[in-house]
Amino acid sequence: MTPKAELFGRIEDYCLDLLNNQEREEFENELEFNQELREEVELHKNIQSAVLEMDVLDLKGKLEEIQINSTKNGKVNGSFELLEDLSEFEEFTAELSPEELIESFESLPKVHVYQHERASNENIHHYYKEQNGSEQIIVEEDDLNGFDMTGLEGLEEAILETDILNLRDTLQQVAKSVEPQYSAEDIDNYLTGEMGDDILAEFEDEVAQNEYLQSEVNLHKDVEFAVAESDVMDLRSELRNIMESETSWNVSEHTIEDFIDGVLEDEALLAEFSAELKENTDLMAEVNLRENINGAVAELDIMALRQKLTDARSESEKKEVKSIVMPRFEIGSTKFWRSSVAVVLVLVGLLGAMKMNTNTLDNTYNKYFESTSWASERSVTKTVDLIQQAKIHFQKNEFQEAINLLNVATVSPDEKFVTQFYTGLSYQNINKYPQAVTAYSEVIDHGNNMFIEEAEWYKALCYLKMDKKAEAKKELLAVIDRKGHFEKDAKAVLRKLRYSFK
Amino acid sequence: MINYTDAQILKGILRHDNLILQYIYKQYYYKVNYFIKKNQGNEDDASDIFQEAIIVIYRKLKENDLIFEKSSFQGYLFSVCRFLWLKQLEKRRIEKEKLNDSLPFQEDVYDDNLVEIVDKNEKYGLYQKHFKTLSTDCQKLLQMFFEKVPLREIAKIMGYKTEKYAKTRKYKCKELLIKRIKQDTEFKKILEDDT
Repeated sequence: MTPKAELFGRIEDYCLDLLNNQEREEFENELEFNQELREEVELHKNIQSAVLEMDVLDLKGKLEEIQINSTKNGKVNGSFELLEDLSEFEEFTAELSPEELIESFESLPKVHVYQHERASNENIHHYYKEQNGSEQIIVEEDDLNGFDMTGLEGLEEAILETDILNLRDTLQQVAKSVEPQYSAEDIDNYLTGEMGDDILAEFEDEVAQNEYLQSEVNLHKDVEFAVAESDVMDLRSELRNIMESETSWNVSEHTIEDFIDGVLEDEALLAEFSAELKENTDLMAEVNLRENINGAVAELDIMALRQKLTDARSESEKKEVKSIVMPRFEIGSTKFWRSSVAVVLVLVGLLGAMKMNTNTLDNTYNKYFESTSWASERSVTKTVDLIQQAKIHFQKNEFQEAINLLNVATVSPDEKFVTQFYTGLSYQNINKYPQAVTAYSEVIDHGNNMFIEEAEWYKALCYLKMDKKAEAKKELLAVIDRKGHFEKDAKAVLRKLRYSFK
Repeated sequence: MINYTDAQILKGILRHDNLILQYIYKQYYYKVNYFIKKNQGNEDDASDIFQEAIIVIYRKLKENDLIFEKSSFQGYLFSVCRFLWLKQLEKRRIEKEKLNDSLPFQEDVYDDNLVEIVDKNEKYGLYQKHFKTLSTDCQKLLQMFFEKVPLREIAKIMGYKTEKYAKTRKYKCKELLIKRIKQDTEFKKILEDDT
């Protein structure tokens, strides 16, 4: 069986009369018996003649115009005046043999000859010869073809464009085939003075005349100079490091804190600070962040203190103060009660001071822990019943039930991170931080899923709650590195707790 | 914070003094950042422009071509930053006429020499960027060649058996560098600007 491409090739060769006698005979024999092949050949011939006819039609109008103009001018120039000066060139009087043509390197003359040869086979050439004689033919052609020319005005242009495209392709081929005359090694040798005397003069001549080579040599020179500028490169990387590691504001942390606390009294400093604050967006963000943190933390402190005072009062009302503490006071006296409350307050204060660090961590945790909602579009499949049920429990804040279901849900290892993440989140919601950390670690270890950043963030918060500051810091830094949604929060937590991290 | 005089700052830049560089960054960066953000740029643009302005000043200093008569370091720095950003806007075909000029600048800073240095800096910066993408070996090798270290020594330092191999390797590294430079669209733009 003949492959289609080959078959089309043979048909085309047949139509263009390119087959040798034997091939032609074989093809015609087959043509006689093969109906399908006959139809195919017919189709090819039709296409071919249609295309050729189109050429004629497209150019007909143009030729008519030319003829009218030429007649008006009283002369007909068959070469469109392109050949007017050709007789001036001696080279063109000599005949080129086909061998010479073939021998000639890819060049514009060859391209021209090729195009000319090709064009000579087209009807347009022969058609043009007939123009001188009669207009009758045009009329007959019109009648025969019966094509309506309206709406085909752009076609001629398009065909001419194709010629240009062909020429452009050929020119590109020519350009590609021209290899650079001198290699990078030659240029280097020239620059380092190691080029042999035999080619040095030739190279210099070429540089003087060849712009491309000249720019190549210049590029090599420039690159050498640029690479030798190690000081500039060092300075650049030093500046880059400073920009990455330093804050861009020109005021101390003290000044920022004083400004926030409203105790920046030095007028000059205050004016300077305010001026910078207007333009320095980084400073603006820092002040904002600090104010927010302070506000939140202060509120929580007050709430915690209030609670403790209430507790202390109720405790003191219930319990009898031991006589060894204040043996001389009568229990019923006002002095005694005042003193007792004072003692309790001092004790609470001391206790508070001792626990301050833990409280700060707790406060930070409370401020930043916000359990995420269950995003169904991120779950494994919506049809998995157990996961659906777990989701319902999770949404109802029934975290233990959700955990129980998630633990027994069967999920492919590739998607397990989904159940692990929500297991972690559920554990965290019921304050089982070590279990939550384990679940989050599994999500992170999976390495390629959309929960990693969140898992790192929540894991860091769990560590805060577990008072494992070093581990928390590690996770927070990982979150910051991701430059994602939690980056700012992680930075804020790190900043807030920086004095606790040792 | 300590305030440095212009002379101290210039000396610091010449010596790559980290403290001075930090000082410059803290003192002036935010103004440049503000100016660039007000004029269609972003944070990255601001840091690039600021960095390259310091490099341009460094190049000027190296050529002993920086004397402040009427201006100050701050004025000069801002003028260079503004000039560099205008050039960028031109490249990005953004209208410069509607510039929101928040930086105090001095027109007299914009002489031919500055233009020349800025162009050179741009071109060399591109070459250096690609140089930094080469392997450490290639970087070291090329640098030694251009610093005229004898071939025998280069071969010894790099652990090559023959000098000939060192030379071949250098050609390859350089060819790779030139290829990368030529493939960079920025390079084509620079060429267009030159013509």
